[in-house]
Amino acid sequence: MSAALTLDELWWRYPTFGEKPQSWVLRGINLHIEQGECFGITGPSGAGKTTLCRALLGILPANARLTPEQLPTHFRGQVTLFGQPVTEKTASTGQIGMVLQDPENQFLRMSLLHELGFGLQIRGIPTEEAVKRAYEALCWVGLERLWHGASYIHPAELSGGQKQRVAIASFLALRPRVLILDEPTSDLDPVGKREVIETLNRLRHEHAMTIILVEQDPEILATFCDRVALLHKGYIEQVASPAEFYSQQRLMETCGASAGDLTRISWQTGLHYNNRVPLTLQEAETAFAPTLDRINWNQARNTSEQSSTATSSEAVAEAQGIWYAYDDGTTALRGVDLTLQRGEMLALLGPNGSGKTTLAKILSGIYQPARGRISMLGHEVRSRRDRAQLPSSVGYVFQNPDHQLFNRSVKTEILSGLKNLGLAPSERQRIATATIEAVGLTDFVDEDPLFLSKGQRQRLAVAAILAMGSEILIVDEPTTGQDARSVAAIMQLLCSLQQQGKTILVITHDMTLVAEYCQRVVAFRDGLVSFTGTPTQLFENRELLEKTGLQPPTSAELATALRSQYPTLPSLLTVKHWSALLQEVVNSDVAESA
Amino acid sequence: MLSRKKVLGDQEIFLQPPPGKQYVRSFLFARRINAPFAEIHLIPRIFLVFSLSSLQLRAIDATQPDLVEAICLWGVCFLIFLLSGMHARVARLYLLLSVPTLLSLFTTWLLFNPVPGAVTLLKTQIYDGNLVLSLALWQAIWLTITVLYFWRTRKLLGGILLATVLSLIAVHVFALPAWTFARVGFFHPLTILISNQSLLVAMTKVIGYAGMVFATIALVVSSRDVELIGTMRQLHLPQPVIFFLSTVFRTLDLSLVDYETIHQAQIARAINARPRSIIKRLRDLASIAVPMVAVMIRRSSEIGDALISRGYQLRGTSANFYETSRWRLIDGLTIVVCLGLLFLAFGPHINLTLLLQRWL
Repeated sequence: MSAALTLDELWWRYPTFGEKPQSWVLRGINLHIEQGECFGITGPSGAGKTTLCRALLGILPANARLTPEQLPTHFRGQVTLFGQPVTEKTASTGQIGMVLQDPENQFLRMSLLHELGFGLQIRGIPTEEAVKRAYEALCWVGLERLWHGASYIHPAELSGGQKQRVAIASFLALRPRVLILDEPTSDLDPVGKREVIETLNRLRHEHAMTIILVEQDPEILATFCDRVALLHKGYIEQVASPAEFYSQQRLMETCGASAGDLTRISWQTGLHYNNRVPLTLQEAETAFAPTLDRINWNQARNTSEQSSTATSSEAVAEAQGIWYAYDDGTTALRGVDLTLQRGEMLALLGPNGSGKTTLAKILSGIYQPARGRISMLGHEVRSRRDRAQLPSSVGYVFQNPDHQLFNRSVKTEILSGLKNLGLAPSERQRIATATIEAVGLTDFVDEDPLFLSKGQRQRLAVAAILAMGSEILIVDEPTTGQDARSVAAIMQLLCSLQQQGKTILVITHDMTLVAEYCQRVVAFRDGLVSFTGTPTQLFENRELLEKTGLQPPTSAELATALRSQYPTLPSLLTVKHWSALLQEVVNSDVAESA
Repeated sequence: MLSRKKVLGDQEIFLQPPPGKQYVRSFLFARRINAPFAEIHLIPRIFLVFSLSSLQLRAIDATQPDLVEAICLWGVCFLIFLLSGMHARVARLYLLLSVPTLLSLFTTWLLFNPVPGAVTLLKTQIYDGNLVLSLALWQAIWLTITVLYFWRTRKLLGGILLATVLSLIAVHVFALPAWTFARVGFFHPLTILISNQSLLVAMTKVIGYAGMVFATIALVVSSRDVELIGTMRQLHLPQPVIFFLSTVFRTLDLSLVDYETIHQAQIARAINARPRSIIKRLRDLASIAVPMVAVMIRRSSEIGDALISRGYQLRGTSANFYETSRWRLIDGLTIVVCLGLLFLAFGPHINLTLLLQRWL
């Protein structure tokens, strides 16, 4: 098979205004991507994944505006597309396209029809052919129902998932031979995520398209990619088939790359499928079944009981019959009831656009409900003045930390909220110092937040809200697009806050996170609460999962799949549960052989 | 393979309003999809608003104010406002906002433009043309109240208002001593003069400006970016200009979304927890600049990448794709009406008010 893309000793570093050159972002990258291949690229945040995509498209070094003398200092090596060197003109040939992480930034026009037709217009495709291609592309991504009146649909009227699909469709209409997708599904709910990737996979086979998929989600990489590359600090650490790739435990852990549930169970227990980690449920069943056969189930039930953080039954927040409609007439909530218990970590789940964020904003006083009753810490929230006081008891951390950092130093960022609450200067200083220490930003007290890493900015955003003494903390999708280490750091911070007595409400699409950390879940669908209960109740009940439109974490799926074979299999939602169950047998085997 | 009929439909269904959808986004808010004013091509629409405004400017000329003409034109403008398809709630909000604005315009014109007339309703000198340098007891009272208020509440504006009111009362009730050091001639004496003529001018001005505001709002509310792009194409403007403007509109749209999110983040940071002075509110507004700039830099970089990845080139051409609108009879008729309005605006003047007065 011939190569679609080749990278030969590619080095890149961004130009700087200072005298000291920046360090290399890409370091001697060698890659050979076959035609029709689905090639995955993963790695921790800041590894150079997006920079690599920009180089593949020819945006770099062209956009850096370097002189021929400067060029060798910043760019070395060569990228070729179907044997031709990649230049700034490559993208305009129509052979390659790139879908970015944030679909909002890719919407260049203000109607769906014109967005789909934009690239075709540039290429001078005749109108009739352009319309045909636009419609086909929309069908491919499963949005054909939006074709009627496409010229009247504004980007703001689409949900996050629809926007991302439209962004993909606008490239599919161009029929590129190579499509680069830079974390295209990070904002999507699990079902939407799978739908988009399955669509791409189908199109790849039907149209012999080469796909380069930059992704954090190990399950998507393992399921859909032929090969996966690990990028770390600008180096390609390994390129291998998913099975081989995820078997490199030490390398993956050293680089902080994300690994799926099945991989982690295999790592922790040493149980393998054909001398490698299992990647599918069937492989995992085969790999773990011999060990499961030897388990004493009565004893196992006790060891694998879900560890639960002690929570009280005292309600700290209550919402009853909440209705909310946006200015454009969309009804986001239709009589929602929710109770938040002191000291718990509650997950708000649901597909994109189901009303989770709207309810969270109502609870934190940002939106006013059209109808319904809200009680916060025993007080009724009735008037505008009551709502204005809510931030002192309910903190809301937005998904994007860049939207909520207003000051030019870490300390003033923390102080500003305290000042708004009217605290005395000495009290403000004391709280700010303690909070900065609690979130581990002591070394950056005078640093400009803009110069912190994304993980640090996220922690600062939490700290700024936390310092205000909020009893309840609402965190909107804190782990979206983050690598394994950042996810662990954020969740560790939230857990320690929970242990200090805070009540935490997390809005998330990450079911593994829900299974590992949350005591209760509330699932939304079409502006209504479709389920309230524990993660175990939700993830082990197929009917409930169908009703809520959610997907369980892989660990729970595995347990459900094996329950027909082992009816007494206890509730196993997380890697920890599985490891605890299997480890005992594995350890006894090791002891016996010793 | 998709058939032509299925894709294009009998009447190109992608150009038909989606079922159940009544409003479509425009430059400002949204408008009814089938709004009558939006049926007119953008060029005659702009031309109509320009012509009406030109004629209004003539009607509100202070030397020959024509109240009747201003009212007639206001009626036309208000009709256009109603036909723009603006959401009833937004229209009500605009009407509500226009009342204090027009009232302040009326008052300002009346107070600062002394126009003599046949009947004088009020004549008061407020400044005799001299600056008086003096010290007075009321100044000490004013300063003391302001400082004390600030010391107690840490607020300035309320203190200044309270001090001014109390000082004025004290000056009128008690004969407070004052010591004059010098009188310096500066500017000319100022007199508030309200006559029948100044009332007529003020009313004409207010009605005229109100009409212009309504017509302009109707134009902005009824227009979509795609119409503007299509119009620019029909006017054969250079492709980079068309593209630049369409990107500006899209970026503004994104900035509004970012502004809203950032403002919500400010609310979450308790900016409304306590009453705040105007200065503090302005400071809150200014602090939005930090995240706005950070987000906009990132967005601009990504928009650039998105453009390149679609194959956009500055010198490249771009075909028309359902952007231009056909020229219809109503558009031609509107142009004729506009020419008539312009003739009235710049040709011989017929003062309807004088005609009416003579006829009565």
